[in-house]
Amino acid sequence: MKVAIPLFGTWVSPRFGYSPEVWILNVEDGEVISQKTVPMVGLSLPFWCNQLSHLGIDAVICGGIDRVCHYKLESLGISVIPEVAGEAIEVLDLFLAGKLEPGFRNCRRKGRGFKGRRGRYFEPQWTTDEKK
Amino acid sequence: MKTGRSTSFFNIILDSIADGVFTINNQEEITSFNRAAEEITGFSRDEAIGQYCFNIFRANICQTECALRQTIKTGKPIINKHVNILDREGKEVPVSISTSLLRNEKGKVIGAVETFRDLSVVEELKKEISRQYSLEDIIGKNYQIQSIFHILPDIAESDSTVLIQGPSGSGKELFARAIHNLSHRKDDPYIKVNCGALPDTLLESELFGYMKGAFTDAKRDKPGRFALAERGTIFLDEIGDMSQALQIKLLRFLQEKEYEPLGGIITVKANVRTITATNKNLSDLVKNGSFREDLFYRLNVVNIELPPLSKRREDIPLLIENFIGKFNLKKGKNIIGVSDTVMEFLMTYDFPGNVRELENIIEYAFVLCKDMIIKIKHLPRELTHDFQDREVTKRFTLAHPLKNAEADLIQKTLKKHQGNRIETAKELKINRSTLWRKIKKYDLQ
Repeated sequence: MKVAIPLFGTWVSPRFGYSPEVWILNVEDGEVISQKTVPMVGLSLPFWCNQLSHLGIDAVICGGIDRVCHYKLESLGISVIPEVAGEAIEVLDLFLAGKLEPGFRNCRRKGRGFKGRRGRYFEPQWTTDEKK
Repeated sequence: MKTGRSTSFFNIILDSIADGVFTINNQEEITSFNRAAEEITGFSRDEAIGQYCFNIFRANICQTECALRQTIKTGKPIINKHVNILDREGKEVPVSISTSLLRNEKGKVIGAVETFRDLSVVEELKKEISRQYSLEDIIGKNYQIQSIFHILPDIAESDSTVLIQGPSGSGKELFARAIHNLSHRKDDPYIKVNCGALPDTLLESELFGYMKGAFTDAKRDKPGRFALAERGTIFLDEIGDMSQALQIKLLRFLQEKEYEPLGGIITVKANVRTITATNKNLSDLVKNGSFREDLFYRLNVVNIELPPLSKRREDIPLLIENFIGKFNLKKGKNIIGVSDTVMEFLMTYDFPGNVRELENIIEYAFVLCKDMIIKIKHLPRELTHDFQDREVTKRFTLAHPLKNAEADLIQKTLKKHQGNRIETAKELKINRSTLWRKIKKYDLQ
């Protein structure tokens, strides 16, 4: 499956549709087969969704996401894991291990060590079921 | 104990403020988050404190032009910058932000503070007002445009012939289209003919059509534009360029509402509303004899005079906003506005090509702009070249006429020698280091 993580430096982009690039990973049996970054700078939100669809993405791991974009991605057959915050590589590890859930936020602070490997979870205020 | 009490007072004060306030340390981690910030963002204080500000605030500028980062970097506060944030429910909230540095008692920078005000209600009101400033595809709050907006529905309903006068690019065609769309003919055809684009003979056959055998190669009947516009509206652009011979035929059509196709013997009745436009002064053309007076009075039943863009500068920001929205949709970009310098440039530019030129400038900027804000470097160089020179002159004109003259002379000499400072210093008969100091002092390029 193809997974996309919008990036803000080494972080998961805090807001979908506003990051300069997206990290695309080809994942099979919990392992990364191939990866690349695709520039997305300056694209509007509808174009983001269409571009991800053209790239054949199956799942998007992202930070905050506009509701309309969320619906749009799902209507294009792309599943969304929203409200995720943290270092992209750590988030990816959790995803590969099947432990990543919407609302995951890791609490690592610079110079203070890692406060709990599992991080904190902020429950999203709405779920896919509610939307439907 | 004293510190604890003052922190508590500090929190009470912050919580009593209606604007959202949060502070960050030098690592961009949130250190305080007031009650209004909780309400606007949807995140609780507990959730926010300790998080990186970009993960909570989630403004559209966080990843490109973060205001707090800029303030920490430059030391300069940012006041009332309009952005939008994504709240916890995934809803966009327009806010106005202001930032400032935080220093400890020794003056060392320990972070920054950001205050933000929810503009949802203001934006709704703005949308409501902008609806009043637009009619069909036309935008304007200028009093002349507004007075046309007021009478346009009545003009549209009247079915009278309309003459629209205005300089090239001022939107004559948009008004013609709006009149058609507001009239009872809106479901019938709207046909546009540019009278200046076709030679006289061709224009005649184009307007009135021709019958089989009217001329060589006329192998079948061809309906003219008047026939195609039956029950609808015909818009004759550049009417001032029409020949005298054709003017007579048009006059007859306007008087009798009938015409004969080229080579035809049967008179055809037509039910067509005529709207004409020109960028020339038809009264002057009548005076010098190149336009028929009787036709002028036939066309000039209702006259709409459009002002040039340089006479309705108050509309420029509205038009810019509209074009940015239009090109964002068309080109799939996410540009949110223009920089203050660009706005200043556009507000002072003469726009010989009027609204069309402004649209072209914004379209050009869309090609070059890879950020979210259009900057002066994204505009066509041939336009901004003079502006940058003017900027230098303007800085000194009012307050320091002598300095202005000196800066102006140095700038011109530098330009003459393509920026070569040695040659410039030689010509000005000053030392190179003196020239360097003056360039720094006047901030010349």
